[in-house]
Formats: sequence, structure tokens, C-alpha cells
Amino acid sequence: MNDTKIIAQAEKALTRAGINKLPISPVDVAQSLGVTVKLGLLPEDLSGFLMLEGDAAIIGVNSVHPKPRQRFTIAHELGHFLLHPSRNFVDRQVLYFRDSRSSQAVDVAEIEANKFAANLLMPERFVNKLVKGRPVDLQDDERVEELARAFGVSTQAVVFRLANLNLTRNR
Amino acid sequence: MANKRDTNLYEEIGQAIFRIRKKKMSQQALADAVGISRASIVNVEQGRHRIQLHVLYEIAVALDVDPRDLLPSANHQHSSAPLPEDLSGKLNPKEQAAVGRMVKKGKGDPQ
Repeated sequence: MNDTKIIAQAEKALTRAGINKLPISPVDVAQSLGVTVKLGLLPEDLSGFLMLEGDAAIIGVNSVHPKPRQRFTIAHELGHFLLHPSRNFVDRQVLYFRDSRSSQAVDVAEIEANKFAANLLMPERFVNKLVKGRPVDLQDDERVEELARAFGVSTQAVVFRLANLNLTRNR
Repeated sequence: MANKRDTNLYEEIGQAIFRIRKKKMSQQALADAVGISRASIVNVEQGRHRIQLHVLYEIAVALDVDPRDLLPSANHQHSSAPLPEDLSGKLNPKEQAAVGRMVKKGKGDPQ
């Protein structure tokens, strides 16, 4: 699946949920798709899962993980739901920062779900708006953290997203 | 009644019998001790046969264990909802129980 298709799916999901401001609520997106999100205690290395039951779909999220990570997990599972129909998924330690080069060993579906999640929670137009044409110095912790807060994701996820959009600069 | 959870129960009992039995004796020896056929033991161990309670006790005596050693805990049974295979196959028993609990919790509740 090419990136354009993944980005289009994320945009479509946002439009459908009527979301046009930050931080994006992946739970609202799930609701608009008829997907139930449940928060609960799972063993530490499980981030979440997607389980289909007839017409219903359930996303489970590990409540012991930090909020930004939970949000990314929900978005990641929604990616599976929209991009990989009729399959159940369990996700361990969702890694935000993998790019297509470093993740040869990872299932292609996982890479696609991560791309979807990044596009859902950090749509390019919002990134551009916040970055205001000033590429971000990744050593500038304050600026990176400010962006992470605005998007409700980890700093790691922001760094990867900026790199992906070529919005980083060296000091 | 033949739902998936029932099936899992008999499979778990069968696995417990298998684990203990193989350390101590052959299927034939166990069959002889209990007075049933070896084929029945095979079926019990694979969870295909719904073992009767008195047979379970006889097997426990033959294996020199407490019948409780052959039974999964009630908690474990209640906590695990049947999961689809492509999910349960990727989870260890503890993870399966946790996921099962979560899926079951508040089922049908408005989100």
C-alpha cells in the first residue's frame, strides 16, 4: 500500500469524525467508525489489540501506559481496522520511530498502521501550521516538547514525524 | 452448550493429564489402571472427549495426584472469554486471560 492511500484514509477518518482541531481524539475517530475503545490492565509489553466480533470491533488499550502512548496505540489499531480488514491484531511495544529502512524485520502491516497513526494524530497541515516554515532543531527540547503537547503524543513520535516531513534542521 | 469455552476446559484438563501422565507412564498403562481403552485416554488428553467426573478421579488416583491438580482454576475459566485464533495464537495464557477480561468487561455498554 502506498503512503498516499494511507494518508487519504487518515484524512477521510478525520473528516468523517468532524475533527478539525488539536489535539485529535482517536477515541472520537473510533466512535465515528463504530469501534469500541476499552481501557484496561494488560501485561506491560502489550500496547493494545484490535479484535473483530462479527460486525463489532473492539480496541483494547493498556491503561498502565502513559496517555500519549495510549493515544498512539488507539490510532495505530484504527489503522489496522481501516487498512487491514477482517484481521485481528495484538501489538507489543508500538514503536513510533521506526522508518521504512530500519524496520525491514517488522511486518508491513505494522509499518502501515504506524504511518496511519502518525497522519491521524499529526496531520501534515497542522504540523505545517505549528512549525510555521521554521524547521525544528531536534536538540531544542523545549520546542519539541511544545509540539508533543500540542499533538498529545510523545516527543519521540513528534521527532519521527518531523523527520519524515523533512522539517528538521541541524543547529 | 458446546461453546468454545467448554471446549477449552476439556482441552486444559486433557493437557494437564498429558503433562503428568507422560512423566509417569504410557497411555496404555494409564488405560489399564483406569479400566478404559487407550483410545479413550488419547481422546481425553486431546480434549475431544468430555471426561466424566468419576473417570477424572480414577485417573488422578492412577497418576497419584490430587484431582484438583488436573483442573484449571475457576478464576482462570471465568476470566477468559473465547478469543479468535489469530489473536490467542499470539498471546501466552496470562495475556489471553487479560485480553479476555478486557473484551468481556462492559460488553454491550454504550461507549
